[in-house]
Amino acid sequence: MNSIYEKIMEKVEKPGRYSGGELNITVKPWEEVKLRVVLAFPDLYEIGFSHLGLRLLYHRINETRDYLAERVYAPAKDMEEELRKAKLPLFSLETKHGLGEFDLLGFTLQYELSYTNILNMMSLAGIPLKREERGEEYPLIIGGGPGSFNPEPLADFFDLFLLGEGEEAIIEILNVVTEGKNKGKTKTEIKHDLLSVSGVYLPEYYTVEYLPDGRVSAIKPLPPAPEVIYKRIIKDFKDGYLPEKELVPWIEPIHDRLMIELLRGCTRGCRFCQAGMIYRPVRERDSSTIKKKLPALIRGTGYEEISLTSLSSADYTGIEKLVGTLSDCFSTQGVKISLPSLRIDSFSPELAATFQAKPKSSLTFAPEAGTERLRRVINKNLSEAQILETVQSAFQAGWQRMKLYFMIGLPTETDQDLEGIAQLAKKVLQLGRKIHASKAGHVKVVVSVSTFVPKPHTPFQWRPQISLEETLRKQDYLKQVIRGKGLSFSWHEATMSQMEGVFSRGDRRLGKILETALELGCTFDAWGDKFRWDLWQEAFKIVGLKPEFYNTRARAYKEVLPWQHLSAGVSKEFLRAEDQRAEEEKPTFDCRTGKECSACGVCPTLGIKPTLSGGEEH
Amino acid sequence: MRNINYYRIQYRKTGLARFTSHLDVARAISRTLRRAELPVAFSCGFNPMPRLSFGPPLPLGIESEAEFMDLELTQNLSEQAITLALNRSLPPGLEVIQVTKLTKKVSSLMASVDSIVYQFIIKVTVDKRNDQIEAWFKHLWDSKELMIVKRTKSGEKPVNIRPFWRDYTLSFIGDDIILFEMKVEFGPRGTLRPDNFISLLPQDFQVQRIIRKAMYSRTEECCEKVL
Repeated sequence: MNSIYEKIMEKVEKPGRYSGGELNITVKPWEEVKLRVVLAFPDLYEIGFSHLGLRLLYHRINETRDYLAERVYAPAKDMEEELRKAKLPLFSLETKHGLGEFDLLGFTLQYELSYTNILNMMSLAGIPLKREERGEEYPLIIGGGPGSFNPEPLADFFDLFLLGEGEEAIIEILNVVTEGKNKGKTKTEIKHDLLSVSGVYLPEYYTVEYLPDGRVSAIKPLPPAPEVIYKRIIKDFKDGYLPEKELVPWIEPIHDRLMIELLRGCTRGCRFCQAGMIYRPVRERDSSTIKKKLPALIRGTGYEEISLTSLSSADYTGIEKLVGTLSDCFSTQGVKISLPSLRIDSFSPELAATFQAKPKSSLTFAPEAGTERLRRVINKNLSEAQILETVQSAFQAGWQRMKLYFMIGLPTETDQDLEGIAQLAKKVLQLGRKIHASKAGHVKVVVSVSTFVPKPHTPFQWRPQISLEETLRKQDYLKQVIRGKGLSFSWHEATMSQMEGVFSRGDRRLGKILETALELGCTFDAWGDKFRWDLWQEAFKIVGLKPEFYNTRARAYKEVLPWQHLSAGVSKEFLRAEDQRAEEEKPTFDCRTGKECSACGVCPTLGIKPTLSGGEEH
Repeated sequence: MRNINYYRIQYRKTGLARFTSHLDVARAISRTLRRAELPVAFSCGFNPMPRLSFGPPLPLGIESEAEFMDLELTQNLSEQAITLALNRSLPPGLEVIQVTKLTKKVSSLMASVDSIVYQFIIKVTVDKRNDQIEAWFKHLWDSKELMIVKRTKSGEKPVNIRPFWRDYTLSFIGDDIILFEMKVEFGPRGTLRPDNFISLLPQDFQVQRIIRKAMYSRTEECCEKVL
């Protein structure tokens, strides 16, 4: 390895973040491949390593003969300083090549507050931020993940975005780029060719026009770019791609376990949830595939825990049977099975006991809203009786600590709904004390509250976010009412939610804000201790834009939304109808039961059907 | 009670693996045991852990030829079979050097290790004769007190490390490389971290690598090498 990088690593706090050399990585000979890709997660190693999607692409690309994929994560401040001091570019973990030496640099867009890190990583690699300032010698910059459903704030910086699932599309993209290079085509010509790959969005092929008040008046495609870009989707997920091996990190990431995806999509239809809208429809992986593949993955990694991941794993057809089979199969090797989260309406103490480390640890439930009325508004149709019944069975099974997760600022919320949060928490506490009568003092209820941020492609995409002042008022109110022994209250930093809201529904003009904020010193904005509200406000002042235009403003249904040309397959009519049903507190049922189709539009638009083959044996 | 077999294992940690902390290495090795499909004895309880214990932690950034761990297996396997199985499964940078079957359960490595030898590979960037260098180290050795600044959670505090320095040897390679081996105490009253020692060296002595070379344990008669 390049000793110049080793010298630098000796000077930083956690060199394992940059050293590479993890078990099961692929290091291909640089000169012997046709195309080189570096996959970037714009946050620290510990966060980025845990991300399953990027790892799937890593393995998928490396399993080809002609392409190589390497990884890079956002360097911490100390590493950034060392790189700048030594005038070295940000480098990949596998072969320590500067990011600028790759053919493609792919960022995953997981959360809005990682956007300054993206620009900072490009800057650290010596890559000009603006697309128009990058010549032939620079890599194509590509974005994917949920952020690509409204990537407009990043439109000036990226060459292309991929909407939807990437494991097939990435190879098609690489094929087109390789072919173009073979024929000696320029970057511009290659990008033109990429228009033929379904799901690819090239921002330079769309001009955005604005009204004097800043709203978008039109988004015009330049031929031959399509009017609307539809997301990519894996139609046959039953037997969907699974890598033959998995990486094992040296240093401990936030999710340190073998992850295997049980299913994709969730059609519960919570009206605030972007993932529930953009990853439709539900597609379950065959349980026989999972059972067949897992033993080799454990043998190859030695992980002590297998997490069966998805948006809602307990919904998987035959989940209890699958978990039982897997537990029996792996317990002799000291390997545990876990689910990432449990829903109140699919919780059973027996199932939970298999997953939770020990009954003494805390259990998290997400009622999301404090009253039945507001839960009907968001289509999380849980009665209080259901919640208390679930909590009761958990207490009876031995748990003493409950964490309840809520949002404030949901549409139609009043102080009664806030009061409802406190009431519910107190009822849960009382219930726990009654059941654990002899140790009532051990019962703890933690109320965790975040601020609702309206997201594109959801029924609430037209709704205003609550203002900073209102957020603080609501938080203060909750601090007053959630008090007493056994109760505690935690909340999400109000100013961070405001900024998240700006970029979530932002337009292209925000590119200047990102650049300015970076210049002022904003990075790692998703970290409470790094987030600089004062600098963000200054950036808005310098550029001459108002955050309130983006976050706290209600949109009319007929307004041209900055993401209007990007589609997850869910129709605008459905979203609008859902927004109205929210106002009327009407439920919309999950289509996975097969009884009722909610007519969201995803199946006919994308030519796909939900697949629920999960628990079946073949 | 099941028949438990005790093994003491010596391994090396080199290259990029030196950037991995003691705790992270411990986790990597417990995963290695599962990959190697060794019949590891597990602790009882809700969270069974492999019966595995380690010797003195190695400071981050330092390589080692002499790391030790004690392992309990439920089957009597040959030393060679264990070496092979582990070396097939260890991540790059970790390698088993030897496995010794212990006839009985012995006191833990942490309790029995008494001193540790580190080798410093030093590049001298000024023109100095070997006898001048020898004199410099002799002078250091003869000091009654060697103060370094130790960084702790509560701030910086000066520490005299001389009492922990047990012995040293010097040899020379070519014109400008010194091999400096020092033996330091390890035990309840403390130890000397080799990276802390660097601050006592003059500017023109550039430490290229530090390698842990051996560990000694105290027995009734004398001190002997662990394994």
